[in-house]
Amino acid sequence: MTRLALLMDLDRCTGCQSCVAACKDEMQTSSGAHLIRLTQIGPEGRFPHLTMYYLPVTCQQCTEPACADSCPERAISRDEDGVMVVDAGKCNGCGECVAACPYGAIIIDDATGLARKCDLCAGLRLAGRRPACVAACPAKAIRVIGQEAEQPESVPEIGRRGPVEMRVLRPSAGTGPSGRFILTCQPWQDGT
Amino acid sequence: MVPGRCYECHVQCGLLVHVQGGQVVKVEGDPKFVNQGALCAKGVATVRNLYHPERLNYPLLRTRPKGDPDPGWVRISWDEALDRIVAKLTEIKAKYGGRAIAVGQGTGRYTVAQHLRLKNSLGSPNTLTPSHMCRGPNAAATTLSVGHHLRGDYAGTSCQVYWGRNEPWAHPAFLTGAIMDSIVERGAKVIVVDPRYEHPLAHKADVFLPVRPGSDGAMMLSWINVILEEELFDREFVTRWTNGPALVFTDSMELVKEADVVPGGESRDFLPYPDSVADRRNRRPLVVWDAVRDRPVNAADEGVEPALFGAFRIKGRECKTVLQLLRERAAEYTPEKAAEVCWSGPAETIREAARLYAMSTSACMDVGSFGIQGLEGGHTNTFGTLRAQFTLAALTGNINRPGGEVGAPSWRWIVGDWKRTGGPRTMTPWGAPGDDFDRTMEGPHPEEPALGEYPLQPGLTSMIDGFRAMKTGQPYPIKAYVMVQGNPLGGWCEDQKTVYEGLMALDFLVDMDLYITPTNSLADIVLPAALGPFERGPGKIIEPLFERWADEKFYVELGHRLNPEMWPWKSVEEWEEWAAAERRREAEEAARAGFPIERGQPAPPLDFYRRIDPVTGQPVGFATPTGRLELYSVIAFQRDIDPLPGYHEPAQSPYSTPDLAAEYPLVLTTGARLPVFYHSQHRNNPLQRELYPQPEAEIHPETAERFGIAAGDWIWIETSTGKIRMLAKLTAGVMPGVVSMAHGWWQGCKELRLPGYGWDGANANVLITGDEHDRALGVPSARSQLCKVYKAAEPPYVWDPPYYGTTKPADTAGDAADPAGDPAAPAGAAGWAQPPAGGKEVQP
Repeated sequence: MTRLALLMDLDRCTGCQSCVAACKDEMQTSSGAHLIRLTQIGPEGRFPHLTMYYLPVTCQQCTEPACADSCPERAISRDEDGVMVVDAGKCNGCGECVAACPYGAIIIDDATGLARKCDLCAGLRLAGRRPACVAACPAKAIRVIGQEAEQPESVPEIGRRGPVEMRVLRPSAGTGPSGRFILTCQPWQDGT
Repeated sequence: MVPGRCYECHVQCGLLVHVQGGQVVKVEGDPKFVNQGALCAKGVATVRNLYHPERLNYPLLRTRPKGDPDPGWVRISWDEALDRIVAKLTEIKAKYGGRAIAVGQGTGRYTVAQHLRLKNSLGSPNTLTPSHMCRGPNAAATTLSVGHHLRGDYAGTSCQVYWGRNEPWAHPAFLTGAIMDSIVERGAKVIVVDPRYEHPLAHKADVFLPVRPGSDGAMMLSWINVILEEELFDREFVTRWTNGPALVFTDSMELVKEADVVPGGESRDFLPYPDSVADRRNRRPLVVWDAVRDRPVNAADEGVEPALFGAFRIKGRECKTVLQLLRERAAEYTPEKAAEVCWSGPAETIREAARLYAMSTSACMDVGSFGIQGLEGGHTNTFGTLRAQFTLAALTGNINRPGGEVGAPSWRWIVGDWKRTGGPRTMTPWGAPGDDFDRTMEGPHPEEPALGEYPLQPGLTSMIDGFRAMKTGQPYPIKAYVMVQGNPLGGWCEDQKTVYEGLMALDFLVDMDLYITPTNSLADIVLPAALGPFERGPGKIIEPLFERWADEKFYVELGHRLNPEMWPWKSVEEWEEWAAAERRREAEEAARAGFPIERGQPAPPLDFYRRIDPVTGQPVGFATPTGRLELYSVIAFQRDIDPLPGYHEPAQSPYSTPDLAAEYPLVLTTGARLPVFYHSQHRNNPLQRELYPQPEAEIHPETAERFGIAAGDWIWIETSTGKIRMLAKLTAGVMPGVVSMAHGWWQGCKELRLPGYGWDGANANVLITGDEHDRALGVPSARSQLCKVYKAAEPPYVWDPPYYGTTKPADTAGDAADPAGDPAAPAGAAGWAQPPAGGKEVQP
């Protein structure tokens, strides 16, 4: 079963915000509204013995999505690629989904008053192209995973790093996120 | 989709441009270009820059006095603008001479040749640009040491060193993909030497080595110390291809000449620079000490085994090898000493970093800084520092080795039919013999030195001296300034108050830009520039909007009216055809001589220096006075500058000026980069500004606590020169005792209701002194000056042009007086106090 999500290679991410800009440009979100946002974990510790990494956060394409469960209008559903999408025709802008999402990945856009979230650039996907953030990322840190033939857990060995652990963001939220993260150059802190 | 090259910074990534119905609707990265299909925020936002409502669309003429809150701009035609410019420049030239006209640009976008040709055709030696805090210093230090320009082969190296350099944020889309492939896929090691752990690669680095801003030279000498003492240098390379074994008289620091050791030997001085291949073939011999025969000999003699270290006597005078002198100088900077001087923590980290650098198969620091912002732009001890950095690369054999620092001089120089063209005074200091094509484009330079020329920056007008000459008329007046693609006020020159006063005092300022800026708020004529790649260039994608012109078109049209002999081209199209034909001819001739052509340009092989010259039977060597990589610089010595790499404290530092440090206890660096802006551009573009809304100064929490500052406070940052306000960003990722900030903040963004700050509100260069510079290169102390910080009131904002100054620095310490009530505020300060209708003040 195809269930697309994003893999963020944090060993590569340089925090340049290109993904954020490309997302805003593609999705035409209003100012202050982000469907992907760049957060930074750290720096923590005593200079110069510090830990830090960049953490781009977007929809984790959960298997048990709190957003969809919370929606009184049943406006959020899974499309044929397994991507959670908002039906703007059904959304009433009540904001229940915003409160429910443990990742802050769904927002009410001021311009329309309706819920918006990352749909892995549905329009571009239809045209057989990559999501805007994936295409723009200078560090090649973002990949689409979850094709039918490839479970998120079975991403092949990546370069010299060998088999790397696929991290899940805040699994304790219990929504079964499909998004994955790779981080070997720094200790993983669950992104909280 | 139409291909084009992005114009939002000077590296010019490849774009694919979507056009619908004559409108540019979107861009994406070109996968076939170096950026591999990637785009940074600046590139993504470029379409908004094309259609921005504040863009300049027509030539404007000032009708009211400078400094008046209303400049009285009147729209005029291009014909009228050009006629007025020609008339005024002709008048000023007749009255004061060509040198009274300075021509300028900021970080150019491939119009350096036209810029210099305009200067030359006016008979002026004065090109007033940011070169002294940009690439000029590095170009000078590299070319006089190596003989050609170098670029760092980051993608192909086994060890990447980022020394005060932040490539992934300076030009995010350009090399980041290749850099990360090299690190993640091929296991390249990473060393970051920086006062900031918030450097985007520090947390990925094998070694993070912090340095106090401005102490980099001491750290480099410490690495040299480790490399020499632990014999980690490339012995074969150093012996054969550097002048490290050459003998130097210690009493005079002169190189020993052949005549000193061989009767009838060569007694003439070393030629400062090969002016022709004949000079190259007539190089003065280098004298070394033959370890086998235990006597001084010509290094080119058969079977010589040069001693690398040691002290000897010739004719009763002591002499030492260059390497011996270097070792003695480096001996002072043990890792323990450097750890103390540089505030770097354990000495063992320094050893670890130096060993990793020296022992890697190849290592790259980008010592030539080809378009990458690094150390060069900011210290009063820059020359010795850059020379030490070059020396590290030379000692480890990383010059012209794949994965190291690579480049070549002109193919003509290598094959032997080269002669210097265009006079001795060139944009690129010493005009490495790779630049003869550029000289063709620029036309002959006047012989007269530029104003305030520094010993190793020939042909470059000293930034601050240029603006002082406008203000004071000394040493001679500069009366007119023609500026294209640049914003000195609010942007790039130290001591911004003098820049303001200089521009105010000019008889005539012409400025061509995309927007109204602080600089052209003081102009007599403002010209609307077209934005590449959309509206300009041979591959333009749409017709220029309104009456915007390509910068090249302005240069050609103005040049042809001013001096048709030097500008025979009647249109920019004719110029472009000529330039393309010249480029083709150059490539064809190079190809016929057996050189590979890459991207239309001759690309001589990296090992060119080993090629045997059939006339002399000797290797062609490097294009330096001694034909070798110059650990000892003949050119520096001849200009009364230290010929060896060295370190002295910055002009202001806790150690060099302890009294000043008592009042200004923190070290300021203004060299930080933000990935979404380029220099003083882009703050008015909502897509970019949203990502970094306000200017921030980074301070360590412990340092902030000492000065009573909390996160998000507005603070004054004050130096002996001036003061500005920024928001305090507290982070454990910056060295305690250091304040770090990015430059270029002046512009507001109306769409986001985010303010501007005028040229003096949050502009880092207000803080930088105009009185202290690197003695060889004229570099100001932009990255190592002393400062203090204290809480401030929220600053006055500047919402509308013209962008005059806002704040009058208050003399009282502590919280600032509200400048709105300051009776001494400069004329024209009106207009900043209120946000636009419906706007809201931004709260910290």
